[in-house]
Amino acid sequence: MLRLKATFRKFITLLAWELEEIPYLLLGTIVFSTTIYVLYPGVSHSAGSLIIGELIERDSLKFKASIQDYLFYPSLIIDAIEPLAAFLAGILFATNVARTFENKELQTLLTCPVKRTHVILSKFCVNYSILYISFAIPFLLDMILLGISSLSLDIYIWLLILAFPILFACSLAIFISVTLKMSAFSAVLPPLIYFGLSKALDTSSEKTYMLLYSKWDEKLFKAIQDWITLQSVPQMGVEFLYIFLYRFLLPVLLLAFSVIYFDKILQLD
Amino acid sequence: MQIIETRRLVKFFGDVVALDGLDLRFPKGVCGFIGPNGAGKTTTIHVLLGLLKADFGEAYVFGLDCWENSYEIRRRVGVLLENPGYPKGFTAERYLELIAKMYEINQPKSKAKELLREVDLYWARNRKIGEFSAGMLQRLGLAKALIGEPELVILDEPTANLDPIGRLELMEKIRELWKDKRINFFISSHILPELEKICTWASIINEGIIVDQGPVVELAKKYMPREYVVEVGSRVDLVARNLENLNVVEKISVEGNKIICKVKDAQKFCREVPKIIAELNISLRKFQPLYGELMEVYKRHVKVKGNI
Repeated sequence: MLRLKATFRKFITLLAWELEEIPYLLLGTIVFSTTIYVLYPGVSHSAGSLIIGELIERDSLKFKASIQDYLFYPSLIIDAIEPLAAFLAGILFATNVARTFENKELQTLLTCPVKRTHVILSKFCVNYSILYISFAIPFLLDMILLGISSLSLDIYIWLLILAFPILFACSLAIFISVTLKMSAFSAVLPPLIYFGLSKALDTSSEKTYMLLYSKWDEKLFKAIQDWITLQSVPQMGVEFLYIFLYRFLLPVLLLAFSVIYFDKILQLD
Repeated sequence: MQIIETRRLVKFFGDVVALDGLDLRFPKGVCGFIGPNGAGKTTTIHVLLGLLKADFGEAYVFGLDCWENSYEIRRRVGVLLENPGYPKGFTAERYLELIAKMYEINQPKSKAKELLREVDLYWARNRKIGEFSAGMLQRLGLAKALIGEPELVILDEPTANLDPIGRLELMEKIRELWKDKRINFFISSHILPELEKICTWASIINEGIIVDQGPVVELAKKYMPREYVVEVGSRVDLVARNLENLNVVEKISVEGNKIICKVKDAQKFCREVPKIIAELNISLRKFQPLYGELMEVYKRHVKVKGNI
């Protein structure tokens, strides 16, 4: 029990270390750029204004913009979050992971009694949290601006859904940072890989990538909504398997590989 | 049990052989790990700390496998790397406080302050590490190495970037810590005269192998110096002529009051010199090896390989 407590305390120390190490300027830039990007009418409001426009046309007296319409028509995950998250995760992990290989900071830290797994997981947790919060705050703000109640259950389901694309971006970025150990590659490759992947999926599928994944994200959203409100087990069939593979298993595997590689294989010269 | 022991340690970097069957031993005390640039000193240290994994062979610190039990080893070892990296946005005090927490030290903040006082950096405790000079960073590294109350301290080029007074103070500190607290030191350095004053054990590495090692006293006996300096008060030429006549003297040169002799049989030469001086009734100011004992050992091994 005492050992467990000590381990936990060390992990908290590492989290504090990582959080303090990220430059305020970078942190500020990320939050600022995400907010500007999300609140820019061409990005999220395009969806919102379309819905609002349609609804007003249909029934000008009963205006009820649904959060689902806002989020998945077209998908904000695919359109707005994924590319920006891949770009920002690249910068964050290049600064906080790959650069520490280059300036020998990681080697110096690893001469102390800290577990390699804790070091890499603390880096991941801190960067993931920063990115998640950077997206959650402006999107929440945006939803409130669109007239969706902050008490709505949908917002909390949306916050859960939001965790997945950011998990993918961060896992990809940490995987590249740990394996290549070079900040330049770590910053540039995640967005390039993301665009490459989306392009490949776009051409290989009958339906376009955007529509396909947007639909699946929406189904996942609805399934969680039904599960909470109606207490019914979601029926998603094979689509659920796809979404599980793409949104959850792939990032978790990337993260697991990065942690194992860092812990058991990586050599620091 | 040896504190450090490696058996036939091999490490490649691509086609380059960094360690070529290294058999290192260090029982206890203060060990000088000596070798030319590129000999494999830093690679050895990185293997000992579990930062690198050897391709072949075994490496142990406190009898623990360096790769498998790296965490346990690092709990008992303090380290100063050759080119350490620090988080530049941290203050010195905050950095050491966090390091102290990792060593599970009670009252990490006061420990950090204590160490900063010891390395003469207390005045800069609230300064960002990014603003530190090279010498200050070296002192900070020393504080980091000592903060965990280690049983063994590994120092890779510790005197680099330190001014002469800083070097002297460091050597004195190492001597004191070994004498009073029995903290063992494993020091990789090029500055042999400094090491010679404090080392109890020396290991000489060249081209990835240990060419010789043992207690400094024994190594000194084994490698009797071959160049001596004799300094007399007067009649230098007369003394030089007399020394030249000794059949053990290979070469002689005079620089002011000093006579530098290269000898074949050091023991015989050491017996003869005082006799000659006494016969000539001249005051002998200095009679000692031209280089230190460690330098003599080092020269023999490294010169043969043609690295210096």
